[in-house]
Amino acid sequence: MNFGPADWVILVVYLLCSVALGVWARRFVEDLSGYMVAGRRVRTSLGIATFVATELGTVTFVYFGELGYVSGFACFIIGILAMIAYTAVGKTGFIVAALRRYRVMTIPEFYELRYSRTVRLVGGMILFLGGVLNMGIFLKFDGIFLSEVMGFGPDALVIIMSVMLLVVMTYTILGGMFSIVITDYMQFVVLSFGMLVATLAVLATVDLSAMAAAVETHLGRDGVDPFTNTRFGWTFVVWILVSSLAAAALWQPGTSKALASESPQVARKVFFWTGLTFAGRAMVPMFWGVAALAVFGAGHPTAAAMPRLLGETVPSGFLGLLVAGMLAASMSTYSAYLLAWSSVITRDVIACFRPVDLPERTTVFITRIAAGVIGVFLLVFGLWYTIPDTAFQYIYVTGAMYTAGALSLVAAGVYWKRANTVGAYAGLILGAAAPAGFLLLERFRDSLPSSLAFIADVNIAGLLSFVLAAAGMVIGSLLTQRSHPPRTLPEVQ
Amino acid sequence: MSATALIWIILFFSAALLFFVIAAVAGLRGALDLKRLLKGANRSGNPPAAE
Repeated sequence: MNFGPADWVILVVYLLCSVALGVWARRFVEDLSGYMVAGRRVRTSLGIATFVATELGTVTFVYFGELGYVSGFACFIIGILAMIAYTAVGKTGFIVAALRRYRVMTIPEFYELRYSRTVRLVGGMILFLGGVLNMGIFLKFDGIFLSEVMGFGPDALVIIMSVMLLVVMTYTILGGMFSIVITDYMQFVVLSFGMLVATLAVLATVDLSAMAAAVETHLGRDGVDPFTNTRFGWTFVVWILVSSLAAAALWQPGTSKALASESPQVARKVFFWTGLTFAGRAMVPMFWGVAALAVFGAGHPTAAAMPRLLGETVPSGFLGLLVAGMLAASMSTYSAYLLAWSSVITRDVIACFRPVDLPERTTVFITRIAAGVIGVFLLVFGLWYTIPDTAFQYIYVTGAMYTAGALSLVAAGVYWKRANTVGAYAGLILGAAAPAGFLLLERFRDSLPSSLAFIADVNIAGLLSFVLAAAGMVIGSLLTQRSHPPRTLPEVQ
Repeated sequence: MSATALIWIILFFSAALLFFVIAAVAGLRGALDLKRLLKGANRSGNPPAAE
């Protein structure tokens, strides 16, 4: 076991502080906007801290570390693409400024404003399905990370992860966004420090020239050129750029941070500065993965290589800090995601079966129940499901089920007057079709007819979802302008 | 070490530096923002109504 007494003390104190703070924040929740968007009073620096904490979970470290291990420096391009996408959204206010201006709390709420209540219902269902499937593997990868870093067997970690999930569910269910903002801030500080410690430990152990040599030996040109890398290529690069742009503007857990901000201007600043951290967010764990390749060589279980390296290189005492940082990262991600998906199922699916919205108290009550049910699902799904391709590609393709349709609906809804309900349905359904096809058919890729083989390629399925969603929106709207005249957005101050 | 590998390593250090500098600034200033957010709560312990 790598974990010493000092590590345990740090970890236990940290977990207790998190729960105490999160539960204490319950006193600040007065109404629905307090619960879901912290009363829309979050300023820039706090917004950046909570945004970074939300978008950095242990699973993020594991999938980026895995990519570094299997593809060398070539995967660093992902960090650059994400930085470009998020800073562009921040600089231009693309979509997020409009969403904040209309004071929506979830993205499908915008669908009702611009299209219809039924579009909101369909969009809510797709968002919920894609979001929960996307989150479904988090627990499993957290388990892999902790078992390797701490030196436990995987059986014990099922229990540890269950405890962690219970802790997060407790404060998310009770305190909503106020709890999340407060605990996210603390988690942001701890995880940033943990990342710094791990990076310094890796740099002290592994020589840079040894890393470059390992990449050249094991991966050759694939290890430095993302465009010729067999795992990536042009399709992948274009897909990730478009996908990052869509995720930056429309991924509910992150976007809810913009919707919680003090004003549309603050929302833009939060996105811009957070965007600048996104290259480091990806490249730091990727760098640890490349270091693992230099230390262990190829042939190690891909997702476990980087955590094992950290377990062996980070000194005792600091290891407790690192694990606390990683747990911090996971807890902040889980809490934001739990709140995001439970808000969507309550407000955009269950409530949409009624002609009018549910009363606020009922909405908060159902949201809390939904967060509990999603938590149980995460445990079961995470332990049972075997992911196709790399974890990174799974995360992006499940995300595309929703983001592809959402990008066409919201971008057209804000910037194109002729977008109508028929275009919205076509965009939503076609956007979800390619990723859903990939998830269903990739298991039978060897027996697929050659005409359908492309759908089992994760990069093609991901890119295709955006193309189909955009085509569905444009063609569907243009063909039905007379039968379904477009609805205009209400004027806002 | 190849020139391409060197470029990626330089990009890594630039990105990591940017991350940790922004994290430090957001960490320090975020504490003040958090204080203001919680101080905005009214006497009953609840925040004022949204704008």
